[in-house]
Amino acid sequence: MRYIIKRLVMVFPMLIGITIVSYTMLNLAPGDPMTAMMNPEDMAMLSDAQIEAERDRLGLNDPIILRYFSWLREVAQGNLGYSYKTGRPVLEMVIERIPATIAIAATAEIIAATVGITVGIYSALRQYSFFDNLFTIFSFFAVSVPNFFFALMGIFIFAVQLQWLPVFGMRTPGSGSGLTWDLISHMVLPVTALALPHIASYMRYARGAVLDAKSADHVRTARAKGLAEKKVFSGHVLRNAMIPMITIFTLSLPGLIGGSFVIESIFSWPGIGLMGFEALQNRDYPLQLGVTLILATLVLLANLLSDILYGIVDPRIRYD
Amino acid sequence: MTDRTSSINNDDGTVVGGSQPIVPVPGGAPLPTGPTLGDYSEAKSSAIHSPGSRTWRRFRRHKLAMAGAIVILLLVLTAILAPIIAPYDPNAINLMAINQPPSSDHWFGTDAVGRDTLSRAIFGARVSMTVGFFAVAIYLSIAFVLGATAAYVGGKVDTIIMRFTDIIMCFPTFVLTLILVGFLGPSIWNIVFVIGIFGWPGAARMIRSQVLTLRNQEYVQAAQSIGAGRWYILTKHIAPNTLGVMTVAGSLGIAGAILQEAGLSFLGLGVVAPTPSWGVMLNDARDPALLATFPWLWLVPGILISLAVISSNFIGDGLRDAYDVKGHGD
Repeated sequence: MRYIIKRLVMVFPMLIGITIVSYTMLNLAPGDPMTAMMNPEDMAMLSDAQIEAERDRLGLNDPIILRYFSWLREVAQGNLGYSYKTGRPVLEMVIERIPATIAIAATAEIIAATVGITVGIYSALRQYSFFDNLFTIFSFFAVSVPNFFFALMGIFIFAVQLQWLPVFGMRTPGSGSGLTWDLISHMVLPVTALALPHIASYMRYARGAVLDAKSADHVRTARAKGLAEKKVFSGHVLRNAMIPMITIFTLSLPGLIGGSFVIESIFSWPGIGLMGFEALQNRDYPLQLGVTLILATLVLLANLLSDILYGIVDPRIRYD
Repeated sequence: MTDRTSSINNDDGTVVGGSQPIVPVPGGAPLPTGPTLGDYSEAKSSAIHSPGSRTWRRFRRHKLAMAGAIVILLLVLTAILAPIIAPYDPNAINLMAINQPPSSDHWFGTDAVGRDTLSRAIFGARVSMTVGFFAVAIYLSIAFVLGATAAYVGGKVDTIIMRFTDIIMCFPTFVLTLILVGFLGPSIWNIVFVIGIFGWPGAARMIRSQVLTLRNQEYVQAAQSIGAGRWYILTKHIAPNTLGVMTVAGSLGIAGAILQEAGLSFLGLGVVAPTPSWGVMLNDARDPALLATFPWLWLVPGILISLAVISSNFIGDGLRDAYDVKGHGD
């Protein structure tokens, strides 16, 4: 319990750190921060003197430290600024796009974890067998071949040559909402391209963790006292080997988000990645930084969750 | 890093790694015949291997790593000699020969404005190799300074540095890189710089844990006990022994940097269009219509990126085995 509280307390300085890095970036961006903070429709109604007064009110004439705090106050109240391009609040735009990104990112992560861990355990139990070597080579390819090259090959083979799958978008217009075959067929290629490198990392770490756990002292003891091999495996090897998988999950998150920028832009998948990519092309700085700030916070919270889970499953952590 | 099969540092005779200065049996190889006490000088040259040569022998046994090293060496040579070996000017537009399939004139065909794919691919090696090596040089320096300071000074400094590292690790690096390159403008040196300043957290963690281990080694304690200064110990005893971790992190980092540059350029946010970069070439060919009709346009750069990345990953893996480095670099 003390461990969990300690971890929770640590989050605040880290959140502050994230905002400092984001704010530094915001200040590096060209352009007037004023236009990023205000609703452009309101701003068009104001005279120059009123804008100057508003600038004072928002504290934009203050030294940078004070400016940071007034920006932080706005962020805490949910004002991440307004998009240059659409004039809409950034937070609203991001929330709108989250479900589409989660649809492919979560599916990819679940597939990666299930396939990767299963294959990894299989490889470890048959170390240096033909399949183990095959999977090891595969994992090198999966982490080395860029996901956009995989995506292009997928489009070339399955969408252009075989015409089995659609190339772009999330749904065929007029095909209805909810979980339809149309949606699933649109998801296959982007999810596969996103999942491949992660399958490889789950595989390699699961293999390593099982190999480590297999040679641990308590496993030898369990065997020595005559426990059935099946029970040794499920009760002593597997349970310990699965703990590090929590870390792999956390480590894979930033990669998944970076991947979604590339993959969503290739497949015109209407998620945060595509929106972020368009924001980059349009030089829509408030939107870019809003997206980054929210994504970084999500990663931080996922980190926290994994640390707490770690503390619950692995008692050794708590005695640090 | 600690090598249980005993190892001796030739220069000053201090024991590296192993707990007892017993007769060295390097790398499990059979002892050469006849090294007796009498011809010790002879034995020294044949039986006792410096840590460097031992590592090299182990690395050589790793076939995939050797293959990777050869590929990277060839790519570096290609990059350096690009103007000599490229059959055509990579940016020369030839409207008489557009969209040609591979032929004896154009081994990998030509693109929509008649530029030779092979020549562009050869010049593309320059961008990838430059970004790979220079970005990694920048971030390894940052990683070493931060990682070694955190571990060696310890206490509050350690906590602050490691928390900062955690914060940077929370950011999706690729997205930060995209944004910052957007601010600075897309030039190859800006890409090198940006990848360099965001790439260090993984390596810093590896170096920190290595230095933490080294700090408690007997030979470091021995040096402390005879009154060696902190700086002396750091530069003479600790820094050289982080070489293993550094090279492992470095070669994996080169793979990552090449991937990042290709990704940036593929999105049209990296190296700018006329410059021949593998990512730019893929971006030029990503339209499904082109994809189907002119596959050489994207297959060639795609395969080259994959080859370069997988080679550096193999090298990293081979070095990890050779140096017996624990932990991972992502």
